[in-house]
Amino acid sequence: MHKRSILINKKGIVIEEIIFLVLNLVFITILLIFVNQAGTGRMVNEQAYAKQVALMISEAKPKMTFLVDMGEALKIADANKMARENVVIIDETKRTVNVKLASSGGYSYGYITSGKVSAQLQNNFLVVKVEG
Amino acid sequence: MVLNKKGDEKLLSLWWFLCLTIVGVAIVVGVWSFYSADVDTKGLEADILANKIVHCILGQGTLNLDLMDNLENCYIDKSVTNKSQIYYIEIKAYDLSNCAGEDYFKCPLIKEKIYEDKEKDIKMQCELGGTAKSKYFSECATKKIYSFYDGKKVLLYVYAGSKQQGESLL
Repeated sequence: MHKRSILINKKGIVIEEIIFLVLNLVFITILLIFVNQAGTGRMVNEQAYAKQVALMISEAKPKMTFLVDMGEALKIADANKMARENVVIIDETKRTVNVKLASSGGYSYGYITSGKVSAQLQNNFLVVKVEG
Repeated sequence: MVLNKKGDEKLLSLWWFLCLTIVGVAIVVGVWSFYSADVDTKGLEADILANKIVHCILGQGTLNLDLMDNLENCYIDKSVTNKSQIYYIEIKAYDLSNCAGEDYFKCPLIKEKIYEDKEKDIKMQCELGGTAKSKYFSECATKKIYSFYDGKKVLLYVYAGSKQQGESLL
């Protein structure tokens, strides 16, 4: 009885219950943050955009220019405070398209076309030039 | 065993956190498996590769079989044809002029070129596709085009396979 009285503060609230409540809140908050982060679809979008751009480059004929609507990807990148110029990078030595929608992670997919390929963002569109 | 009120509460909170952990793990696994779904494009890539080869060799309607030896002239990167780890290409031209029946594989070959993959397993995995499936198996595409070459009726057969998975960056 004496020990229990130590755990009760002046207002009559048991400190154990406060700790229990705080731990529950921490757990639920972490879970909600994870679900919210995963729910943005960053990983799927990185993969889908990398594959889409790489396959379009593979299919393109020399001296072809095409546009890819990056609206959805840029929304996620902006939410993650990712610099727009680093969202899509064409690695000409490895011949891959790298898409990053957050400072960590990203996805890389190769293309089969030879020759020079360049990409530049204009508003919400990625302008890809295949020189051949 | 007799528990006083305090003991009961401790057991209850332990049980409560166990339940929360089980629910949490289930949600994390569910969300993770849903949002990390793989977008499989190997079949599409094989189809693009086969199409690119056919359009290049066929050109403006006349076959140029010399292009089979050097696909770099078809704007296909040399990493694809030089013992690639992820691509397989087979190009064959059959002479159908004096060949009866529908089994063109028995017709005389005019020219053949195979760009094998390093591990030599892409074609085998594609052939297995009907009986065994795995998301890591390669996928292939076939194109058959009839044309004329040196006054002969020719079948151009292109078989291309890809097992490119793509990779996550750190």
